[in-house]
Amino acid sequence: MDLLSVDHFRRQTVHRLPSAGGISSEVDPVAPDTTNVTVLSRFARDRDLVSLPVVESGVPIGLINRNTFMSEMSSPQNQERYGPQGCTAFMDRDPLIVDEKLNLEALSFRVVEHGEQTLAAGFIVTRDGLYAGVGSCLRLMRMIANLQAEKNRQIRHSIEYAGVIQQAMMRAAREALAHTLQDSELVWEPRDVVGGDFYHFARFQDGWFGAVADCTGHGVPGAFMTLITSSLLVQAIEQSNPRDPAAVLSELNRAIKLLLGQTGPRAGFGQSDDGLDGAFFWFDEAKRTLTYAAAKTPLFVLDQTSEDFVQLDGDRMGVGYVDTPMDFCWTNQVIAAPQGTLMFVTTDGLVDQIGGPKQTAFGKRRIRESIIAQRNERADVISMSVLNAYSLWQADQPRRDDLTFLCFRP
Amino acid sequence: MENLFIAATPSTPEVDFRFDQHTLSLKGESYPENATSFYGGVLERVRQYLAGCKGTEIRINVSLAYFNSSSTKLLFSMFDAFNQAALAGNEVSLNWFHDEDDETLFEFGQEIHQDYPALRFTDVPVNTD
Repeated sequence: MDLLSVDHFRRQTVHRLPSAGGISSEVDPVAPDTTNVTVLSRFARDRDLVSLPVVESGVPIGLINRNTFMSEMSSPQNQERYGPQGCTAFMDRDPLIVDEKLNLEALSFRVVEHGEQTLAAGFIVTRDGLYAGVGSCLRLMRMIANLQAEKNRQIRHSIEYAGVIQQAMMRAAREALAHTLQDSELVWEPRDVVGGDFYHFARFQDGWFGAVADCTGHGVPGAFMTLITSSLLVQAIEQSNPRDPAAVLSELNRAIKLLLGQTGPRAGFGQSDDGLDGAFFWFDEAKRTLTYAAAKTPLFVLDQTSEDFVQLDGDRMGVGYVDTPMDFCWTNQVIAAPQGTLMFVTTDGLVDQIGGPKQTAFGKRRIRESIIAQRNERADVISMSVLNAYSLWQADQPRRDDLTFLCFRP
Repeated sequence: MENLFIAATPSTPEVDFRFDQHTLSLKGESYPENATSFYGGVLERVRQYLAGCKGTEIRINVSLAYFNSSSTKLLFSMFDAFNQAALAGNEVSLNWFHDEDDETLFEFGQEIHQDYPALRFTDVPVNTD
């Protein structure tokens, strides 16, 4: 291929990020001794001409802006006086001059630095120091807006697809839950398509194991943590015993600390310090008892004869974090769960959401109240009532965190 | 030591640490995408400041309407540093401001009170009606 066709091939097939050269047009420049009368006729002839570059031996020396020039030359006296003179009188001697290869982001910063005049008049583009064209800031704005929209679109699509994977990962658990507990409802709503909240559910011959957890962070980093947690939890259940949720928590703690190297004292602020809070359960079907062990995640139990919930608190120790001891032992609490006992467990996204008349947290009290008001209904109806109360409270406040809760009668 | 001021954003609090007056205030909400990068520098400055305190009366005002769990961890690191300073002989008081109807924030304050007993903790419910 000769040089010309190589260049053609590149232009056609290789996607290149636009630069200053790509948004300029080759305006025929004038010389410094060109008269103002000639400049006036150029502006009169070409209505779209915003700025006229002044070039001396190929080097740009200034830029004549239409508005500035026209207002100076508006009166007949000035036309008579300045008309025959050289055009450098009304030109901007310090226009923004950039190389054609300058990328658009850097260019937009240069434009802003250079001041308001540049926004109106545009800028001169050079190739190897010689005049190459004039760029318009309107075109620059349009390109930047398009680039921005394109970047946002790429990020959104990427996260949406990550969401497909994250939901697929938890689908089996959701199905096992629906199969095992007919009267149950699980709400999982990440704040940003993917999130750091996580659930697990598995059926065994003599009962079931369940977990609701809140991994550090939300969005993409939170979702990474749920993937790690999910696979380590399955291993932890195999290696310890699903009938002992405290042991599963301990096993998971060790596994996360080892995997993320969160074993020693913190080396510095670049080091990760991530883990999860959550509630783990084992339900013994024959004895109808629920064994509960938790990291900073309470369980609310409403039995049929009580007026209000009993709140069980787990240990105040997160799972996997640098500060959590490698050999920390969580505590099992065993409670009787006669037919009809209602249980509710949630991550902090529900409790801490800001809203209401005074922009305060939703709080546990309002959750309890909206459940008790519907206490004889099925779990899905109760969950709907909680979600409604939550949405009313949130109103036009942005959601602060991921939200997950599980309501069930074992 | 130079004072530290960081203006609030929707997801990070206002940091107004007047080291010269020994009054450190945090106000707003805290749920940055990367809590470590926001609090890392702040915590560093606090540690430097505390290292130079001896028998000092330090007042901390916290008025946070919302903070996510990763912010919580870093806030606790900061309270821990204050607690250490109190154990080392400084008089550190922590004023915990919250809306009087906000039970969640009240309970959180109680946890801090329990975990950091060397701090002179005062719960300050505010009536915003």
